Amino acid sequence: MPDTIDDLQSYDGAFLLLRYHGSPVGKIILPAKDGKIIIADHLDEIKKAVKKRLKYAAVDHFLFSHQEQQNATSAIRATIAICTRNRTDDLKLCLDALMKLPDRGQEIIVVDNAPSTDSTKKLIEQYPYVRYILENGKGLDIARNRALAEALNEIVVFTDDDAIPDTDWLDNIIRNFDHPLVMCVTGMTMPFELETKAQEEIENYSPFGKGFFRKIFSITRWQPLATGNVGAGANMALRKVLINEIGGFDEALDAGTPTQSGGDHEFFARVLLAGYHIVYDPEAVSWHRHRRTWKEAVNAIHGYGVGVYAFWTRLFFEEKQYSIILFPKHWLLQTQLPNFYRSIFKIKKSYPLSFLLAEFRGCLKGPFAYFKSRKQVNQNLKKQNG
Amino acid sequence: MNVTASLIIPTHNRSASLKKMLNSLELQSYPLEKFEVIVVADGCKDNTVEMVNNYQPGFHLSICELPGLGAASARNKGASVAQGQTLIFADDDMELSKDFIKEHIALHTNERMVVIGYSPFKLETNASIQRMGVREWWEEKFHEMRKKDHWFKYDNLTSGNFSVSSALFNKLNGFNTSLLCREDYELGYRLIKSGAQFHFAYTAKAFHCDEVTNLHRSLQRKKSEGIADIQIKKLHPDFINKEAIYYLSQRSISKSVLVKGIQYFPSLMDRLASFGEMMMNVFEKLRLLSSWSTMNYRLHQYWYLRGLMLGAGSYKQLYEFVMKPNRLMNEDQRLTIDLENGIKSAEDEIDRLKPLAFDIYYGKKFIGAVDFEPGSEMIKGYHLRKILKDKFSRELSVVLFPGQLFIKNK
Repeated sequence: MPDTIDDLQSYDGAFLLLRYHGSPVGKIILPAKDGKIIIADHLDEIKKAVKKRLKYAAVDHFLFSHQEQQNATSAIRATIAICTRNRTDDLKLCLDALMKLPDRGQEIIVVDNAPSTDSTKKLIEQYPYVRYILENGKGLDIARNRALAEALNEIVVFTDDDAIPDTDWLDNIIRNFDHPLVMCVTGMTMPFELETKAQEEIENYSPFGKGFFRKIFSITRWQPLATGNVGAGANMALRKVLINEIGGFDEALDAGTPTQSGGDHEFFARVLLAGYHIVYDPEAVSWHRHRRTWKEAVNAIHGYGVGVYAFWTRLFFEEKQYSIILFPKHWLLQTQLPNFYRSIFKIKKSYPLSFLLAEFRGCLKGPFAYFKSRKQVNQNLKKQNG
Repeated sequence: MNVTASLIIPTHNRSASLKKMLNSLELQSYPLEKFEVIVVADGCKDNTVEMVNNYQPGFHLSICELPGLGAASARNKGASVAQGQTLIFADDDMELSKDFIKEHIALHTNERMVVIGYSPFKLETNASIQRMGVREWWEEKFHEMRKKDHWFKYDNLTSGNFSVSSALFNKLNGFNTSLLCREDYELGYRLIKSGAQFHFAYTAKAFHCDEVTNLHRSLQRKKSEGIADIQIKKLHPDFINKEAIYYLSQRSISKSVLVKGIQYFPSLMDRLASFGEMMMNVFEKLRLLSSWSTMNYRLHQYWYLRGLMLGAGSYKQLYEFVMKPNRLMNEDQRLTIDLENGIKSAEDEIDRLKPLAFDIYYGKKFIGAVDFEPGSEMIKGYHLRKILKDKFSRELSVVLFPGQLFIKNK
């Protein structure tokens, strides 16, 4: 580690991802003094942040460090898919990061989802290795399904247009597919920037990273309907063959529809219900740019609330998973009410009340949003079929 | 007839799936005139014999009949008439890949080879959780064997897809026909003890289209496995039964309730167990998965203990029988392996000294012991990392963690 972190004049502190020989082992936010952080002053906090994972990373390093990278020339090929809409500045950062990935024969496609301008198309013209696909049906899950239909390779790796993957991200995702039952892999998503209070709070309230240990989810070791901890669509990969068996993403869910989110988590539930595994691999790191303004952050949280209840609604009515009926009660009693309590009485480590209220309002809307969205999708289908 | 390989398929009243299998054999990439197929019809009451006799194959095909003596006898019977140097065993409900025979044969470079093929479990849509669990169990097993540093053990032998030289098979007198089940483990045990070299062939692939395994059969099978494990222990006193030790060494109330129940009210317990089985179906319908898993674990534990106790006579006898320490080797042969000079030098040390068992140290700190397990292949240097990772990560982390990680490197 460096002795100090400099050039922080305009910041109160810094978010650090702590690694041991490349493997992420912990994260921490340290305060800056006079524009710099002196690491030696914070050793105890750092130790605490890495305590759980570091010792196992040390074992792995001791055992496996001088073995050559086994999967560097994995035979499995991937298609990287980015679904985007009117966000060329973010998309450019993402594409620049993808250009730095080592060549494993991957294909990169961008699905431009119901754009209002041709700016994305123009941007893609500067990247000769990136294939541009125009999808006029509005909705993230429509774009995802289009990406699955267009991808030429066996594995499709999704990244959000506002995420910046590390250079070993793709390799670390792909290596998990060596097990035949692994149909889906998610990576660890870290905040790209914490420029505003809103970004800090959203990272604190709803971090995309799900811990520093690799986890395997399957119906025999995990409640398949509780997919909140499995990972997120911003950093996930799946085998294309899976679609033939369990269907694609639900086009009534996620961004661009009344339900606002939930498409990825509902899909994960179906993967697990079919008896397949999902692996969460924290070594596949991608950096996500959270929304900057407070209003955008509150909207995003509200959207999560809508999405969760919307995808539960689908699981109840369409997948006939009636035990989902127990989840709202559980979430309310175990998490939401205690959070309200802490927030109102300003107990340590509480979350902003506006987030909690926004999420709760979202929850109430969720089921209605799903039915509304379902109706729209069905109408569009009818239109298409004449 | 001059064939190199004999494919032996025991079958029992499955004419249709056997016919499909014979059809698929026509497509093998291995030259058709260089292998023979021996169908052993064991107690078949359907038209299997007639179907095979009327079949016009492009390869050598013969059939033997047995009056229903079980799969182990059927396989032995097939082996006794086989003419190939290599015996390949497959089940009658498999879909063989095109290179199945070729890939098995390719690895038989000497007579000590035993090749285990990959048999993915084919699952229907809307399968029960139990069947998903079965598929998972098989895939985990194959996934482990596929790793380059896998330490082969007797229970890696799967009778439905493996090959062995006929010389070795005959030398060991084939499968033991007195066992209730697990005859593949028992053969695996003798094979390894005789110095056979196990190999896993991912490319020798045969889809396993087992449609009959369900919860009830799985539980009944568990009871048979308990009985068979006692039979094996009687045949091989130095056999260490890890599964039985795992269940017997538990000190929980539920375990002692099970044991006492089996001792004093076995028929009541059986009835309770079938009630539990019924409850599991209810749990599955309601998707109460944690209740389902707990009950699944308990019932398997129950039926296995029930089988063990039937085999051993009483709990006391069983306990002494399974848990009594075996004197397997002279303790002088136990060596010490030190990790302080790095993992590579520890590996070389193992390859140089060829120990049966050893204690692992890091400097002066004890990490763990690798014991001699009859039924495991000779330990080699390249096994060490996986053993450390799977068994001793915690101990090793304690030694590696403090101190040196936070020394500043300027």
